Amino acid sequence: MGYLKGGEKRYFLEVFGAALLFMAVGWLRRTTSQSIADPTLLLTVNLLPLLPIALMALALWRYYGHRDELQRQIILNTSGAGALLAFTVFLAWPVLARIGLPPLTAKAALLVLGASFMLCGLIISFLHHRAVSGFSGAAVQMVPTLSLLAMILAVFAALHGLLPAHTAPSLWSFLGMGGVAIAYAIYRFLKARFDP
Amino acid sequence: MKNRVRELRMEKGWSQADLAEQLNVSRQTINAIETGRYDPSLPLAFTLARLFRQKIENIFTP
Repeated sequence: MGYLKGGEKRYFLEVFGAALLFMAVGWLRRTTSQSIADPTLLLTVNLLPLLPIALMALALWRYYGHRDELQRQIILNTSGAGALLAFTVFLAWPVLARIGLPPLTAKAALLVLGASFMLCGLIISFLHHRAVSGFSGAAVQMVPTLSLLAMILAVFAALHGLLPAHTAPSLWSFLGMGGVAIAYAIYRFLKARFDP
Repeated sequence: MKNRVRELRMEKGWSQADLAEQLNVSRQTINAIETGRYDPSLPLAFTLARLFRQKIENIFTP
């Protein structure tokens, strides 16, 4: 696989489509699993969400394959640094738990993992921009990415506050995905404006 | 590592985007190579040398 111009937009749409399929399959599973008697069909319905997950992983893998060598290096650096940071936090957590930190739950672990990759991605991206365009240039070029991050966090914080996930998961997911799509459109606009 | 990519590109009258398209990489990568922030892989360096009809050591110097 070689470099593909416009790959970012193409693979965002593929991942977004797979995420929508994941929501649809999840809704189907929740609404039909109670009424299915046949164990084989029930197993199929319960395993169906694996299909969009596989599609999402495949899209991300192809996205990586269609980046050029510098972009691949940045992705690998981000992944390595993010994994190392998360690993350090996971190792330190039980020690810190002895002095009052709450026990590490699966949800907290996912948050730590996501935050580690995001933080390392932001730092590595900023350093890359700074080396080419200087500090102020890098700060300006980071505007679209920081805006996207802020918008996505705002969407999910608002939804968590207004509409707790456990009460209406389908509606929550649908609104969340709508918010992500709008945030990404604004990100593309800002990227064309600040990082041509 | 220092390089003459910007100079050779200017001689040809190409923009960074033109060169990026011919090498099948992003414009950001050309920018990073020209500013010396990124040293290209050997295959990319050889492709650059072929494109500019130069020896690799005439483009990149340690």
